Amino acid sequence: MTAPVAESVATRSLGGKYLTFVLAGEEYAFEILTVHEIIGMMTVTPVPHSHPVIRGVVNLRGKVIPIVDLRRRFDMPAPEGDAPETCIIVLNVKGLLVGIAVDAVSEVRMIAEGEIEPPPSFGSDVDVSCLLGVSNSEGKVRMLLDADKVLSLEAIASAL
Amino acid sequence: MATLTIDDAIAAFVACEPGDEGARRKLRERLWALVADKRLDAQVRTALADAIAVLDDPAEFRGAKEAEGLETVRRHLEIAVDRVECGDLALSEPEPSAAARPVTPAPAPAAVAVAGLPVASVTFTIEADADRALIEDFAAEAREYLEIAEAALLRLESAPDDAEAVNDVFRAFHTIKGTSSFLGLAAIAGFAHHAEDMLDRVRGAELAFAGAVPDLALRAVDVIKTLVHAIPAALAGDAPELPADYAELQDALSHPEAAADVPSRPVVEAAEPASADAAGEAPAAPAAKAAPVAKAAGAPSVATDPLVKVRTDKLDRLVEMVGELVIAQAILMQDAEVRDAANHHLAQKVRHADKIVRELQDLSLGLRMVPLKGAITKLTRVVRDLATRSGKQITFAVSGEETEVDRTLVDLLADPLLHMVRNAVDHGIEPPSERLKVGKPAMGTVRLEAYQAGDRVVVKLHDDGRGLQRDRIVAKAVEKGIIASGDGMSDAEVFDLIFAPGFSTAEQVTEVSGRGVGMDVVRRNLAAMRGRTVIASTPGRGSTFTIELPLTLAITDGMIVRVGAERFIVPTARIQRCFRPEAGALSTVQGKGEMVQHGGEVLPMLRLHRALRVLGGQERATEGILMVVGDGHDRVAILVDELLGQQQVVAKPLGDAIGRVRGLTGGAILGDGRVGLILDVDELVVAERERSREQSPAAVPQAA
Repeated sequence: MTAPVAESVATRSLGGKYLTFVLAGEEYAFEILTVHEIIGMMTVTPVPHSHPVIRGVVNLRGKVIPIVDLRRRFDMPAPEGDAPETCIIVLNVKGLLVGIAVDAVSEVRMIAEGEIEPPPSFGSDVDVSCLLGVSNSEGKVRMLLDADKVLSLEAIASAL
Repeated sequence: MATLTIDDAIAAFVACEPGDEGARRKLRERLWALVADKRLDAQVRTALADAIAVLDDPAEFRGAKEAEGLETVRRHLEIAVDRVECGDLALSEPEPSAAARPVTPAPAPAAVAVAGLPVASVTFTIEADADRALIEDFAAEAREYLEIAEAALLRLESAPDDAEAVNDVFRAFHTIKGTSSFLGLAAIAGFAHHAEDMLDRVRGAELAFAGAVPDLALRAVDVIKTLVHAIPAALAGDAPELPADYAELQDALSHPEAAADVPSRPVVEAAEPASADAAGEAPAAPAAKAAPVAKAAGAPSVATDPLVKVRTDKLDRLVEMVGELVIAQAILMQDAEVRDAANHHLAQKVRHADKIVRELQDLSLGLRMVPLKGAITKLTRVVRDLATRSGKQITFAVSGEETEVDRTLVDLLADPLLHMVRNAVDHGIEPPSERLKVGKPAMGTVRLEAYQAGDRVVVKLHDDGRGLQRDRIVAKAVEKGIIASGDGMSDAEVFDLIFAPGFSTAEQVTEVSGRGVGMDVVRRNLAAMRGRTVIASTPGRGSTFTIELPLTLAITDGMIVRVGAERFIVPTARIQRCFRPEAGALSTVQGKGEMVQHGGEVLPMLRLHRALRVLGGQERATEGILMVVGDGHDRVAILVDELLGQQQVVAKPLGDAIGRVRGLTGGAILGDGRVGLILDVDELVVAERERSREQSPAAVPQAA
């Protein structure tokens, strides 16, 4: 394993269970411990004057939770309408529930520490600040996301 | 009678069953005999006298409270037994015990040396093996008692003969002393003991509540308050220092006559709650908002209804869940299957459930309602202290403090009220000489009035001082760079500058509030609670600050409106009327945007779809609906596509990830399960006003 680049990588073990999902044909993953639940796509109420990455709000059994559009968060082109498998991964980050709209959820997967490599550098075009690392196994590359950073408003502000 | 021992008293106590007055009399007799026995240690006798005081206090033995009264007696007896067993004879100096006096009605010498409980050190320590949970409970309880004592003391200042108030104060000190000494908090017990002693002399008409006495009593409350606040630190082993004036004040409490006479100070009085049903102003209040269940007891002393303490988060959760139930029920009622008359029986059952849910809703809302009193009581003290310091004479009259509002609002109201009161005393009321010069009575009046109007609570603070000085406000605003000049601004707009960010600052940390919050923060906090602030003022006659708040934040009556494909919720209370405009009523005024004429008024028009950037909204105003919102000259007609109907909604925050969005107060679940956004009408009005000021004439297309 190469030397870790990010501090978080250095201080905690990254091995464990991950929920993997597809976004624009690429495979990503969140640590299973940050995932609150997975719900089907529902009608999102857009919130005027809110941040562009906020797709709107939905009703999660009586709670109003915001939905973050991960494509917009990563500055990817918008799709032609939602695919039928589109769903919302509800993350619990420091007690806050936030939904993430993704193209499809794949599986819960055990990713061993040894499979994880630190985020590579893509140059200035690609923001790697919210990657915990990259796992490469069975010929598939999965990007492990740091839920905290994906949803932090400061990081969003600086990314766009 | 043969020589009694403390064991005999215990035996008599054990025989005391609730309701058995005979046994209680017997216990009392034995206690008296013991107290009179000079051979016993002074502290033992004090403890026994305390037990008698409890027995003699009818309030302790009223109905359901009897068991509690006996429990208090038991605690005092325990203390006595402890002292006997410890052979704690260090202080053998006979102490004239508070409650023992009636037995020896000798002319009490004015300056009896009161040894008091020992104050060993200048720090406040709690023994390591103390019962933390009990001490924490005591701290909470003591705070309540101190509040009661403070309120009663302030009442006494205007009515020194109010025996009930003296009793309230005495009871507070007494209970604090008893419990703290039981818990081994010697610093508090010793001090409270002296305070109690002094109050007992007032109670026995032996000492007048005049001269230095009121001040000493209030300062005693402050010292105990400081000590109670220090409990957590002391529990943590920090040994906080005793207040600087601890020893001196303790001494002064024993010899109140000797204490230097402080200059007489203006009388502060809390007027009787005026019209008991100021709330009656809104007889047509919708049933859902009526009936706050737990009506505040009129008596300011002890509540006679048994109370239970409930964790607030549990309570909030309950109210929230009932809110959900109400909405689930609304969705059910709107279901085609139910509304359709085909299934008669089903409809009947659902209607029955609906009735129950509504009742439950009323009840649950009532649970969160508390009287405003909590926020107001402290102000009486603030006025008193501020007036004393600035040499002004002020009467503080309060009415409607029993008006009930949502608990969360009471806490949030504290800061704004403090600001307003400070403003009125510092800047409003003139010094006596100046008042006399302009023909006003030397005594200024600050009147606080609270009442319910519809589903809102109104708190008004009026002072009969000099009024707001327009020129000075303008000068200050110009100096601070908030405005360039005051020309062309209406009085209301000028007064509003007080709330502008940067106008009033938090520079001065006063000893009254401890910290300053800018007026802009006050207004923002109020706006966050859907509250409004209005200022009215007449030069030389005084000013009136009005705060208006919703009764509760939990449930709002909302009008659902459609704009394009989106639906929004407008609080019904904020809508004055709705109409569809005639083509001829629409016009544009150069530089001021679109206007609409209705009922002899000309109102600015706000297109909601533009303000919120919603696509597909109705462009032709004559095809849409205009809602008139706001008040006074701040009214605006808001254009929406359609009114979809009314629904009660539970307002929910949009979450930290979204943060505060201008023009929205939150979201709510609509009848079909989707989220609807609740509009902040006042903010929209403000935004519209700002926009119309900046807008150039060219940017206003004529549409209709």
